[in-house]
Amino acid sequence: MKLKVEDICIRCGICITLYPELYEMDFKEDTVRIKVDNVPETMVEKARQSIKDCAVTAIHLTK
Amino acid sequence: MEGRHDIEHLTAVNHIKADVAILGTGGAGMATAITTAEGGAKVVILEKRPFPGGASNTPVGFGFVKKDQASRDKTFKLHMDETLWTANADLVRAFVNNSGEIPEWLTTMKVQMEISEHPLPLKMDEPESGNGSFLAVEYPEGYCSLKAIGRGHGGAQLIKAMVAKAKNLGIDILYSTPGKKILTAGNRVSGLYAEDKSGNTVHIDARAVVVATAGFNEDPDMVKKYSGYDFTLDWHGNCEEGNYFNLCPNLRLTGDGIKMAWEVGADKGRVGIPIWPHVPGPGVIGNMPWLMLSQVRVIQEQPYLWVNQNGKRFMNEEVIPSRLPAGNLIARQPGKYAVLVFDDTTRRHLEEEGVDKIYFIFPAKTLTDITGDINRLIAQGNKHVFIARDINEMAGQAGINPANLKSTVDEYNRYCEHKYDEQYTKNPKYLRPVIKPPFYGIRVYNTAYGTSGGIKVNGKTEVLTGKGETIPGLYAAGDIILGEYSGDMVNQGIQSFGFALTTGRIAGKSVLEYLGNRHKK
Repeated sequence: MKLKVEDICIRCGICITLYPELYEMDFKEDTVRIKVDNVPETMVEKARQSIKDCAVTAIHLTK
Repeated sequence: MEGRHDIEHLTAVNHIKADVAILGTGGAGMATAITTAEGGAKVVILEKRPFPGGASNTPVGFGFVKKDQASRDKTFKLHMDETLWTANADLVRAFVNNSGEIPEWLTTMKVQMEISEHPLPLKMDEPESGNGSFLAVEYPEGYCSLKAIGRGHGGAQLIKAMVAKAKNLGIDILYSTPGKKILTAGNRVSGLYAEDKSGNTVHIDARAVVVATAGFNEDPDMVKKYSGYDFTLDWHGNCEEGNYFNLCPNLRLTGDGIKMAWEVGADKGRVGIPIWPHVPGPGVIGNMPWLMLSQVRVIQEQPYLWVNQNGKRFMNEEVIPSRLPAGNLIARQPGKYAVLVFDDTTRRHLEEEGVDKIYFIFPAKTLTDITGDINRLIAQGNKHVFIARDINEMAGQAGINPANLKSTVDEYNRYCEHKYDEQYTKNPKYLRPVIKPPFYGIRVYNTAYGTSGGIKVNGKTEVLTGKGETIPGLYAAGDIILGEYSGDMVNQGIQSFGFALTTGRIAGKSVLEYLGNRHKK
């Protein structure tokens, strides 16, 4: 499974603060970058929680 | 160079015609845009970043003044008296007169909210909340709590709804397109130059321009020049050095709109930095200000024993939840910090009986495993929290004069025993002795959520020159005129978002009046 951050992301930093293993802020490009190509089985639960935590439902899991 | 932009290299590839061009998609800009479009104007909004909202994505709600005349008059008088009439009376009057319609207006955009009588979504009585935290200058009377999703805040949902409404009204929003220069023809505003993502100039012909670009948090030179404060800018919110730091560090607020307005003759309105005491990181707050990661932020609200670097008390600690006086007091101490010192009995009091002052963002009444929390921060490299076996060791860790700290603690314990604070008359219920080891210390510096003011306006939000004349067609709304509202009581709290929405609405109405008048001519 892959994570995707949509353009509506407001760069607030909730995901990078709570799930630093999954997300990082790219200040230069002004985007949130996903750190894993495929979400490992051990991180799927965290990825799902990060989707719930997002302030604007900008994060999605795709196959 | 401050206030100037090099636009010589730009090549205009895009020419847009509109009645009104608005800079910024925060609450102020969106309110202006929707108001003017609802009045039939053709509107274009420029947004520097690739998404809407800016700082307006983070408020949890806003205060408003009720619509009845008695509430308006009372709030106006109270506000002007509390600011010693240093606030812009015409603007304050316009604010109180227009504020009450905002919640209803937002409802038409399907913004989800809860209205309460109280300015905060908390009971203020027991245990006491920092109701002084929003200062005397804020008497909103009504409070609108915005529905949020996830761990975010309602502001983001409000912006989302406003953007949807704007799209329905046919408003053009150009993202990643910062304004670069306000254009004038004769003494009137005639449009804007902006720059798109590829570096091309966008030329907008507009009869009115509204600057709603908020502050200059991330221009340290402007911060230093207009506030006197040195902020260490740390995008990660860690601020390990412990100097002044900025709590909303990823907003890209560099004062663009203020500089553009100054360039065409706008007078400098009142400017300030509303400071707010805060424990530096790492591990205390997340990348956004409301994301609490540690209970020390709540402990920091407690009015127990606070000392400065010299080991001396310097205030009645009841002032601590009042951010402006507390922040200013701390800023005036050597090293610009203060340390809260408490003992193990108080640690148990916080865990078993609960806090004496609630922190509204993290409204826990009882805390858990404070020792574990502080040890976790220490393990993360936080240099501003301490656990010590005795007062001497506490002084060593926190960089406080040991002899003075010992003597202050002895003196303070005597006040506690007699239930009377001879020095600063603190309420006896907050006199908690510092006797039983281990001792805990939390070092607090100042931070700021944003800047306040920069542009001078009248009650219609028309931008004024140094001579007090208008620049026809130029308006400003939101944080960049908040200094006019706050006067000498620089503030930015519960009222700043309501102020942004309201002044945006006022600017919209004024623009419609201007366009109508010009059209008739």
